Amino acid sequence: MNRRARKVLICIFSVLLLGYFPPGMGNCQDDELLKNPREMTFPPLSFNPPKAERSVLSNGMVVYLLENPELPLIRVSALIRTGSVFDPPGLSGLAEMTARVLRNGGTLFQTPQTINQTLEMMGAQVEFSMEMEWGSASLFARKQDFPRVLSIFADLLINPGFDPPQVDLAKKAALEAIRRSNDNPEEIAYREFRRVLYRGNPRGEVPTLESIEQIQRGDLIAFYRKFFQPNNIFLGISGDFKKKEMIESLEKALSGWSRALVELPFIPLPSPQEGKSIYYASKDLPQSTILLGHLSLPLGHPDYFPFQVLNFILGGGGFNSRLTQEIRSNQGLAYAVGSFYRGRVGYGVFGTFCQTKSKSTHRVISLLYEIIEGMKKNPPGSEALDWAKNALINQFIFSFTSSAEVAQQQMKLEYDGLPDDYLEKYQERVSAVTLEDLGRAARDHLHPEKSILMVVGKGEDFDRPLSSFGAVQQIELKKYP
Amino acid sequence: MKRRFRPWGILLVGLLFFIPQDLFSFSLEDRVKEYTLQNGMKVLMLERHQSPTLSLHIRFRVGAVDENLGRTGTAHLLEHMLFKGTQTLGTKNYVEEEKILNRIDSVVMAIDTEKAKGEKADKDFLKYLEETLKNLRAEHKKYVVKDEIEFIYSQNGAMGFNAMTSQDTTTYVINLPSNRLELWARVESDRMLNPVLRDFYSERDVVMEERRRSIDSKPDRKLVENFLAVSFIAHPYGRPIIGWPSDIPNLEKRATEEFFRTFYSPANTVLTLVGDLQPEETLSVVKKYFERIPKQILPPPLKTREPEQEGERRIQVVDESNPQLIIGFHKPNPPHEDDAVCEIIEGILSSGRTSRLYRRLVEEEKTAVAVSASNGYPGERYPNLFVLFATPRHPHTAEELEKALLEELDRLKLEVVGEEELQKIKNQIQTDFLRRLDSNSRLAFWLSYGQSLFGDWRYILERMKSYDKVTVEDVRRVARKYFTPRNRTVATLVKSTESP
Repeated sequence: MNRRARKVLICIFSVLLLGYFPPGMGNCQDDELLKNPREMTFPPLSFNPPKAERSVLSNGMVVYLLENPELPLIRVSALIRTGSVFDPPGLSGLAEMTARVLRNGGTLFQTPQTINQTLEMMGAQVEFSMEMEWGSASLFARKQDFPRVLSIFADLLINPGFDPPQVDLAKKAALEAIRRSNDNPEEIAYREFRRVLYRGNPRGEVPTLESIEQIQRGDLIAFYRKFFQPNNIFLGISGDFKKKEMIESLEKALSGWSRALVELPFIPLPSPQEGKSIYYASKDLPQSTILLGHLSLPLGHPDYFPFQVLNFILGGGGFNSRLTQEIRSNQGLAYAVGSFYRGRVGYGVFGTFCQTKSKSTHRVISLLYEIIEGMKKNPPGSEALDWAKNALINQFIFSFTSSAEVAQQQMKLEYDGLPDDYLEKYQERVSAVTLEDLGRAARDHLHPEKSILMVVGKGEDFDRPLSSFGAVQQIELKKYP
Repeated sequence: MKRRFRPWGILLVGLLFFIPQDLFSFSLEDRVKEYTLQNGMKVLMLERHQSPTLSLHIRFRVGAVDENLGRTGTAHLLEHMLFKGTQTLGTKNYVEEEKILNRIDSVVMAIDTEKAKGEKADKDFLKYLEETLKNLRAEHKKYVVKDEIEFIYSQNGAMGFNAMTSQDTTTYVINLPSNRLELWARVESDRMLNPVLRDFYSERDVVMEERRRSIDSKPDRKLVENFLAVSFIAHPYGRPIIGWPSDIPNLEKRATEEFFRTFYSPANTVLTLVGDLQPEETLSVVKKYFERIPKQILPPPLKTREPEQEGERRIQVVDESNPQLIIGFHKPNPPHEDDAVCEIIEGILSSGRTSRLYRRLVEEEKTAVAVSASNGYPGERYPNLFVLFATPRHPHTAEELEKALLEELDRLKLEVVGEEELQKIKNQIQTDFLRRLDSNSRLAFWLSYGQSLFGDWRYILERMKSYDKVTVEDVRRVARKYFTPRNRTVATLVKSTESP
């Protein structure tokens, strides 16, 4: 058991940035109730953030527990070290289907219908899902129902039935989802962006009618056995319970499920592309969906925090970020515009996005290139840096508003292999970011010239052809009868 | 993406549920502190010290339903405009700025008048006007501090600074560290007293992009828009919240300001504060800033009521996308007792994997990939709809699903629902209510919703009790009364066969 005696005092910085903009000179300045908000000061805020306690069950399962008796409820979330990245070649969609049938396929002892009936009679929930880099599960129950719900949860994890009709149903649902996958422009753009971004890597595979047809019940069982082992699972539990009793309940519910050797298949990291590439998918739409981005820094990279701050200023920080300010506020060219950065283990993804009417497509793409380029030529000054740092530091308190999230957060840190003082040091690390760091992050880690540009829309209506940015590769969107 | 509204708002109902008193100590009755300011503004406060944060919701009882024909989209555009600042926020010198804003308005009006002449418009004059406008805008820019409210809030650690416009209400939401209460009071009272709708004309363009994104590029949303438009022939619930595409670019600034003055009145306002607060101190801050807003008379309520439907209505939307089906029936809104019965029917039909529609259409017949029922569309201030949505699985058709859905509605009319099935829905409703109580923002949402729509936040508890009273006989009676062919509207999304 990893005891952490030291509680951290989070100081919410009382922020004042005088001089970024000159104070207003309106006609009501004398009114005390209209005083300049930039000059307001606030009492300090001190807070001992709750922290979940880490335990390891006898079968190797890692458990984070956080007691919170406010409501007579218990929530469990689980992370399983797996993911759709482990879909075998030709069986794309297997991981996701495994999670679905794990939940819907009953157990060796109970039919799917019995399980559903029992859970829904109590208003309880058990769900499983699959992401690219992990699998997850969740449980929600009233305190008095928890023992029964936990036993169903454990039965599903330990003795899944993979009921053949439910396997068939999951395949049919997956096929229909593919048939409908070109109905929504955002879905098309993100999917095709991902395929190009991870070209030659399992992360770039997407399910097809053929890959789904290939999947058999035995594949689901094999996938399950490979990854769903107690020592490959993390639990985060919060709510109205006593830690000691919870550990006992878990040991009991999971007894007979022992640790096993889990050999994770080697999955190479995606490799960045060498040059610029432009992709276009034609669809009869009044508005273009545009993505422009590239692979980026992994979690734990020395420039991780500077790049976070940089992204906030570029397009992650709302109305005052450069992209939103120029493209939305100043020019009225978009409702949805901004940038995103996700650091993952071993790699990351950075991108900008915008949706604009067909006839301003070229103009917006030019602006995206220009504004990203501008971060390098004209890196943010101290006003922007202070704004972004204050925002990130002051927002941090919201990481602790829900016990369930606190437990999940800590569990995810361990899953990602981040140091366990990550949260304690978060504000410190953000506040350590300097102008030099930002300049370096912009110079070294923004690569408009090596970006993937993905455009979904109606090319005939664009203000200027996409080809003026370079050679365009056309994506044929499949039509299903 | 900011200021999302829910164009076909997944119902605001279906989430509020009653908790039997013996279940736990978290009794809302005892914990919600209620106060009415001298100007009629309602204040609701709920202490929760889980973290040093506050969730702050300001809800105005005004929405798309209050718009006039030709001005659809006003409530939503106004919501966007209230983020543009005040006489002291967003400007370097309002006295000077105002002069330019007035000139811009005059020039834009002249341009609109000239353009309205169509072929006969004086092109040289137009060119001159547009040149003038360009210069004025450049001049205006010198005085503007862009998005200053958001700048101030964000550096103070705001989360989820946003607003939502629905048919019934408009809500401005923010979460702040709890020591920032006064900052919120300062900014929000100013937004209510001295808003300046600067950059009005470019924001119309932003909203047009929002419309293209949320409706014009999404066949399923187009279907909903069309479905509502034929379901309501008299009542404004048939109009899209975001506005018709021909209205949005023509919305006028003066009329929008007038809409603000008419409806954003203290008597129409609920301030809801949930989180790390001390009610007395909090109230004194709230009073100091908000009580000075002058009292105001509200316009008379809308008299239009949807006439009884005289026969089935049936429409299609033809698009490049795969089929979908919507079936709707008119019904009363709360607090009518039949509304609670419809809520239970929603659960029987589509709540969870044991629900009737999921079992039959998704699991057994495999004709659908998704199917759901929703009570209370598209709002709750006026009589509304009970709606079924279904997504067929190829090669099955919307027609097949329609037949099956109507059979399931007939079953409700003929057979009596099992007591156990009814109890299951009531249990789900209660547990769901509990599940949604451990978040400041959800609490603020529901308290303000009850207060704003029904005049008393306790209504969310009353409503839970009314669900609990529903009997199997009620279900049969209500199904027979409303799920009739005459009262039915059917909309289908049909895949276009010819290539575009």
